[in-house]
Amino acid sequence: MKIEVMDGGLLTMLQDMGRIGYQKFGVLANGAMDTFSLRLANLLTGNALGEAALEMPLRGPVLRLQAGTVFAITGADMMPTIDGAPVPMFRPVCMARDAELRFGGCRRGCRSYMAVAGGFDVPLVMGSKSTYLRAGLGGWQGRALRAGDMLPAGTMSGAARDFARRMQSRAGEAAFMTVPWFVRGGIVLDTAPLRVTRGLQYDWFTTESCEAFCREPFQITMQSDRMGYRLLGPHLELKKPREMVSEPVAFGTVQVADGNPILLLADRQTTGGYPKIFQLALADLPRVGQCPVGHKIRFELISLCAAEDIYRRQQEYINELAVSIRLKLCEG
Amino acid sequence: MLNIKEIKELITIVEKSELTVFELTQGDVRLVLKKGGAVPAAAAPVRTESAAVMPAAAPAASAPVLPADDGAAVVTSPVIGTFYRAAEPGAEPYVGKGSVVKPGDVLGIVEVMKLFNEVKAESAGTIEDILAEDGQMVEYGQPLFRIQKA
Repeated sequence: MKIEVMDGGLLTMLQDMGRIGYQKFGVLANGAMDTFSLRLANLLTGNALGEAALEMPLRGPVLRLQAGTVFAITGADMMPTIDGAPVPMFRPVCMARDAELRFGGCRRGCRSYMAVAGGFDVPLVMGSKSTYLRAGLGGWQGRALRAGDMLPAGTMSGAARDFARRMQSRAGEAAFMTVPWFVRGGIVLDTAPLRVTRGLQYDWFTTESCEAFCREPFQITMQSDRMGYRLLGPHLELKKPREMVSEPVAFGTVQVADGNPILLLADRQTTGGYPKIFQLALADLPRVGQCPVGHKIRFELISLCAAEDIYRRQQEYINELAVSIRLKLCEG
Repeated sequence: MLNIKEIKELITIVEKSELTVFELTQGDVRLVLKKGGAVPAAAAPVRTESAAVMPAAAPAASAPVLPADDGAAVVTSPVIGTFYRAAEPGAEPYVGKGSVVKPGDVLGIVEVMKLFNEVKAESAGTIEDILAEDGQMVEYGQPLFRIQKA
């Protein structure tokens, strides 16, 4: 099975859960900005949770899919259509015949994810299929998709094959078939604050700065990309000028350079020499991945214990979904 | 000790299997799941993607619309679970009293094991009554909507 790219979209790339274990050599982790949507898409297509999927920011691609292809779209709503008919999101879809899948503009959130049953058959580079754009490695030839690319899909799982066979036996006039059930996983860009824990240099900042961070909104500026979001809000002050030796940074680290916070994301550098005031809770990272430029975000300070708790609940939710979806894929 | 989630999971598994009786003993807890005998167990189960049917339990299940005598159709729940009238909290309900529907229109959803199953109209008409509350636990086959047929 192959997926032909008719139009690459804005910056459509293959991403998985990231290139873990090579940061000590200065290799970026990369990976999906919204790993929650990535995992949902994989579950819905019978893939391993961490398989690579297409990450599609803001303006999606046009793809030609072959009959029998099973896919699922999660994350931002980019109004996908096939032959003009809306393609429902958050559920598995099976192609009845060859046809073009088109994505429109982004209606909610800013990144859509599309997994294909069997995953994408591209080589693992340092253990990952994530695209490392700046180094030109990983993913599909180390770059974003463009017209003319032919992406090979991998071998479907047994569950996905069963599902495809059952769906195809019911093929009618429509170009695709889907199911009357879905998972809830839409990212709601609500006003609920993003939860943070204290950063390693939290104590270096004035009490007023720490309090302002969790009280005032911050706007995501134009100088934002997959490496980090530069945020505009209250000026954050150190108690006194200090120097520090560079040390590791993580996905969701909030470092402060010249009084302005930078929220480090999937393509973050491996080390940083700016003081780190806060660290975003792991469970809330996917929400950040759906915040577009210009969006205002708020933060709430929670304990490490609370952050672990919401992370554990998120993992449990995903585990439960995995069981339910597998049952549905295998038996209807 | 089984928790409610595991019991729900077992029900789903039994529901979809050819089993008519399932018994499990764990310590001093005994769980028995039975499916009624209206249809012989050997009858080919009617499986449609639109309803997780339980053929042995309800012969009418392949079409979850019970004909009513007065030109109305009753749409029943395809599964055991929690009934919702909107796709997500805070969203507009799919339909209200007086809504005009056509076959295939989604009327509501029933959540079971984190999956949301659509309840669809099988006939054209007008929603005359909504028979379950938003967020209510509903049984398999429980009437959810009354449609006055067009």
